[in-house]
Amino acid sequence: MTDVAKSLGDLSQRLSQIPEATLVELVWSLEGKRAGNHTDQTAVTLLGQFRPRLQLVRPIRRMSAKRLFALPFEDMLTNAPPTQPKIIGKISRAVINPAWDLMVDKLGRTEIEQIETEIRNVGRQNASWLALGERLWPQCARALREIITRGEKNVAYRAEIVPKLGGPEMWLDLQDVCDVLEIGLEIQTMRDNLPPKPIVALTDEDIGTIGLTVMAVDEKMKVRAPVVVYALVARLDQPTEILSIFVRVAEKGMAGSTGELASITTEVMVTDMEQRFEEVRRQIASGANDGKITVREDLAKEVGHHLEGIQKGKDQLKGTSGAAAARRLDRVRVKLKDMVAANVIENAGKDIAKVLADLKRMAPMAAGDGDITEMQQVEDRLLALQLAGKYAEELGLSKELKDEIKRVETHIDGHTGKLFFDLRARGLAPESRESTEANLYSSVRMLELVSGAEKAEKTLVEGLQLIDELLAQHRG
Amino acid sequence: MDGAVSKSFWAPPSFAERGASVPFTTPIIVGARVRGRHDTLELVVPNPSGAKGNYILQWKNLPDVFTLTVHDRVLHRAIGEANASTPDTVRRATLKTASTGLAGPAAAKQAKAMLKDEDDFKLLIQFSLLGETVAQLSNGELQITLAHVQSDAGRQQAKLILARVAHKVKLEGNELYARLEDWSDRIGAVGTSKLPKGPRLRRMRTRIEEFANSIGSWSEVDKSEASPLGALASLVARETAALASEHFAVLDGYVEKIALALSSWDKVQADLELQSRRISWMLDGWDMLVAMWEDAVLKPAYEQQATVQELARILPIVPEEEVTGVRRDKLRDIGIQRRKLVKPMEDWVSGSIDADLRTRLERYKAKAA
Repeated sequence: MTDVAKSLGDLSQRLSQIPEATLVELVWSLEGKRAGNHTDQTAVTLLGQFRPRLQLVRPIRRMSAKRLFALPFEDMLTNAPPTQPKIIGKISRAVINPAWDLMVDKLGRTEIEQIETEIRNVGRQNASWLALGERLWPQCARALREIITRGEKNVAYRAEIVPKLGGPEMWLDLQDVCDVLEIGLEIQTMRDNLPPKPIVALTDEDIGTIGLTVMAVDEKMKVRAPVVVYALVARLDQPTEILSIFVRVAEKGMAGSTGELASITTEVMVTDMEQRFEEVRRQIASGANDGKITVREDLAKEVGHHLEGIQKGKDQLKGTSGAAAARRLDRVRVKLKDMVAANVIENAGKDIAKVLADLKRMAPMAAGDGDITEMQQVEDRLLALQLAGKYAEELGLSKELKDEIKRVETHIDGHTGKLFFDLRARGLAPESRESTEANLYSSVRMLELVSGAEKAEKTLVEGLQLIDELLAQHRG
Repeated sequence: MDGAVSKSFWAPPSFAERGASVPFTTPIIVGARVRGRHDTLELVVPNPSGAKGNYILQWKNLPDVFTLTVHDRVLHRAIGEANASTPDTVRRATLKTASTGLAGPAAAKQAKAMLKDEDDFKLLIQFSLLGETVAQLSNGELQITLAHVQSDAGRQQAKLILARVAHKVKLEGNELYARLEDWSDRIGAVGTSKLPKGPRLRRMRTRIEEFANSIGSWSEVDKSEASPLGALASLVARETAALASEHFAVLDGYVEKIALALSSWDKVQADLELQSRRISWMLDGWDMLVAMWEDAVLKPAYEQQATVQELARILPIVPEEEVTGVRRDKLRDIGIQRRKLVKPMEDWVSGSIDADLRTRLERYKAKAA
């Protein structure tokens, strides 16, 4: 590890030890700095370092006019690159700043500054921003609608705006932003009254909240009813749950326009599910790990979780007119199968063979010495393989998985066999004990992850006995 | 007694009866404890059938009864060989085993860092006590630096400095040095409040307090059936941290008035060990719980709820006999509340080793401090 990396590690460790009360104050102050000057890199970097603890401590975050502007569509935001084709029901995070700038140009700084002042006056204990939002969102929606309408009529004007937004796909996202803001009050009221994202289960009271939102939007601007679907699906743990939610809303006599939204609901549900895997797929394909180690393991787990959701969704669609949606869910299942085959199963044997060939260098990492990232990636590979075993049959991947596990086992057995053979042939000097044990332990660990504890322990006991015997011979 | 099911798991009368927590990675024995009984070791484990109560078996029979991970087989042998049944001795065996890498590289790295930390802290505590003694007895005129505890030559110099103030507590320099060394050995991981980076058990108390706040706030927002368990866990954590703080305060009181403590050394000596041991028992097992929650807060709500159910089942409530008065009544009430709320955990008790659950336990191990 370099000195810089070590210093950053130490700093990160120290940050994690800051007491909770101090952390809350620090975040409040740093967010103030960031709001005042977006180029304050220290504030941005430190807030990034705090992020994992922010989810633990959940301090009150500093509100700003821009954050209030984005509040109703917060759940729908994605980190997809601006060049990616428009995703139905999602809004790229990258559109917030340019959309805000366009809107401020149109609206003028005075009103925004007044809102900023009122936000500061309200202070940090405010529980709901509906009152201020009710003032801001309609103004923003009007300003953005004017830009959009003009852009649709005037190609030259649109050609001027699109690059400012970051590309043609962002133009479509801008339209979604405007759509949400037109019913911002209704959407945010619903968000305030529902459990936080991701929602696993909804109470009757929650269903009532959704029903009231559907009816309020129908009355105010029926054409925006799909936005309710987008906002809800984005907040759910399992997108397929949207089907049963609308059934429950209808049972309460509050169906409103939801019946007319069947096709858009299934479209959004399926797209949302596909999107949830996009980021991890991109990450694995690019080879970038961004410090995240459990990429394949998480993928294997998520696939299992969503397979359950797909089955549940299909069960709910049985006997309804949702045959087309059921077929789309089957297509998602095929995509999941391909993803597991490509990212979890294929080439696991080859990857492990490479690691074993390099185990002299990597064994100390397995025992926690130095930078352990490479060894954690090996573990990630093997754990994902094991997790995929839970649903390989359901995906029709049993044979592929079994064959790959066999290949991995054969490589590890070959490695430990050679290790024992060489030891018996050459003997063992006391100074080599530590490195030999590290080699043995890391092989045993890998073996356990693919073949189970019984076989791995047999290898460990055999290896340790051999080491003891050889050291005794050396002493004798 | 082998295989007996006992309800005392829910309200063990004493720390020794409760046993020391063993951070196994085999899901079926999560929350297990080891205790010494008549020269042999016993395993006390939440009922493997998933029902309430606990299960007691001879330590040596553990691998015959459950299918264990390789890490746990090695840990089982290490604890048996060391005849370890206290938090400190079990911790040593645990760190040594984890440092092989059998619970994954992250757990190995953490174990090695903690072993090194403990060695470093021994020196720091010694330094802190020497510095405090010299400062108090010389009214701030003399000073001890870290170099005075880092080498034999440094220690010789420290003794000379001590000799200049030892008469104030009617001792020879060497005798004073020996007492301070003894003091530092007795308080171990509890350390003193004067150290810049808190010693392990002081950091643990802070983490428990943070845990209490975090899980308490979560239980106010969560609407699932796990919510009251979150509130209960918060209450137990708060109560444990408060109890531990009382013992920390006694120990810190001795450091504040070193001359007084050294002048009634026999009594203080025994109390230092008693208070430190009680803190160690009191906070035993919490590192795993705190790590479980810290891991869960970054996960979806359904995983948080499952984690709260799991951790409520193994909450280390301070045994009633270890406290007196109102506190005892409060702890009894907490115990009753837990018995009512906690449900059997079928997920954790399947006979085979579930890969997902095992990796979670290993992750907690890597996060435990």
